[in-house]
Amino acid sequence: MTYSYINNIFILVSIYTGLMALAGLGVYLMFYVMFKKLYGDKIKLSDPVKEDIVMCGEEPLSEDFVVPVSRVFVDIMSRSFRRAFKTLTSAMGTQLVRDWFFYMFIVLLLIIIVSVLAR
Amino acid sequence: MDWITTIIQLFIYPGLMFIIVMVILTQWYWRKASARMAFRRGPSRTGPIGTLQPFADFFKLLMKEDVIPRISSRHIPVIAASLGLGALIASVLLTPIAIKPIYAPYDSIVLFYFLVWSSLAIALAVLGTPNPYTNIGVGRYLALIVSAEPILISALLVPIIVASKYFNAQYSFYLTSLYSINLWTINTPSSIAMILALIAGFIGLMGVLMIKPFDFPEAETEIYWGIFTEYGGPRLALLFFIHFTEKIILPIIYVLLFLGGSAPISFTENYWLAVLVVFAKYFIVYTILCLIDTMMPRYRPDQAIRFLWKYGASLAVLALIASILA
Repeated sequence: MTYSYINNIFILVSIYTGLMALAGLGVYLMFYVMFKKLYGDKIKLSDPVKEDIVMCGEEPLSEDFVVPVSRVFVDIMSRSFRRAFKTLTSAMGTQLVRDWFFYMFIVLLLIIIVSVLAR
Repeated sequence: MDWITTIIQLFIYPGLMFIIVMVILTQWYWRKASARMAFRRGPSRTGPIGTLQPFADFFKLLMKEDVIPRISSRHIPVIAASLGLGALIASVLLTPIAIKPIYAPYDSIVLFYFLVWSSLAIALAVLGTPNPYTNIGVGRYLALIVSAEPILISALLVPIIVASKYFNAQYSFYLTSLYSINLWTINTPSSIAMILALIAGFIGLMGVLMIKPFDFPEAETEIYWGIFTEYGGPRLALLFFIHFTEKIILPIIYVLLFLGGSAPISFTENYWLAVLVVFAKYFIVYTILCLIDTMMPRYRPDQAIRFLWKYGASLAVLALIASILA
């Protein structure tokens, strides 16, 4: 069995990012562009109804278009950890729990703690 | 580094073409097994005992017209889905299954980056449509991956940390997967760490793969079809392709790190037999996932997230601490 050993993680990241882009391009050309050109474009029918969004038979209204994803996310989290959320929001307001940087800050903090412990 | 071999690996074996064949086989197996459990026959018309049914379904979607809703993003979903697939395909070259793997010290960073990217690619692709059902699905999906991905990655880190301490694996996923059978018996803390990580890793795996009871982002009949609501034709084919490829790559990584990889056969002794052993173990993990998915009901989003943090995350943190102390 043979292998390619790269001594530098930065070069490896660059190589793999390039390979990812190359494989992605291959997938895009083979499974999207080629099939679209060969089949999809030939059966195209213009119909304004099929360009409407799926609303299970109801008429799509413009106010239905925007359901804030962050509100759904925060709602699920607040229902999952009721007591912790109550403590957090009563102490710091609701702004913090709607802030993506807050969650990323917690992840970053955990990474730093683990790396310090593993040193 | 031999570029021609690398390109062949990327597009033929164990890359794109091989993954397509595996997707067809595994999907047929999943559908047949879950049908049998529900006293149905499952796919049986296309190809011998219905083996080509997933192939027919995939190409039917690809050959359809590409319908894009009026106020949706045109290019971002397709680009994100293609790159997500590219990440999963490229990550196979880090495993010993590749004929000529490419690795480096700390290559586990690349693996984790690709795993997170493939999940984010699904979220990014479906965010391109303004449908309320889709948006509820994306909110649920983000809550799921924010909870399940750290559990899975922390669990995968445990064997890597232990192998780096005792076998000088240099935090390399590739080297760890070669020594993984020896990690269970080094000493008591390492065995405890591996057992905890095995359980946490499986919970994380189920979460990331949206196996029931964690399938609430797509929740058909509840939020129509959740994250997949707005898609059909080639776009849906690409999203399914990522999802089904994740169901191949993640259990293989799990087998390589926790279930001894190719043991009792070594990759240096007999490469093809070792690959067969890995796939035999993979099919056992895949069958267990299929059984659970068929038998379990669906959790509510808050129940699932609470379960993941309460049991999955706490086990993963304990496993990490035990691996550091080992």
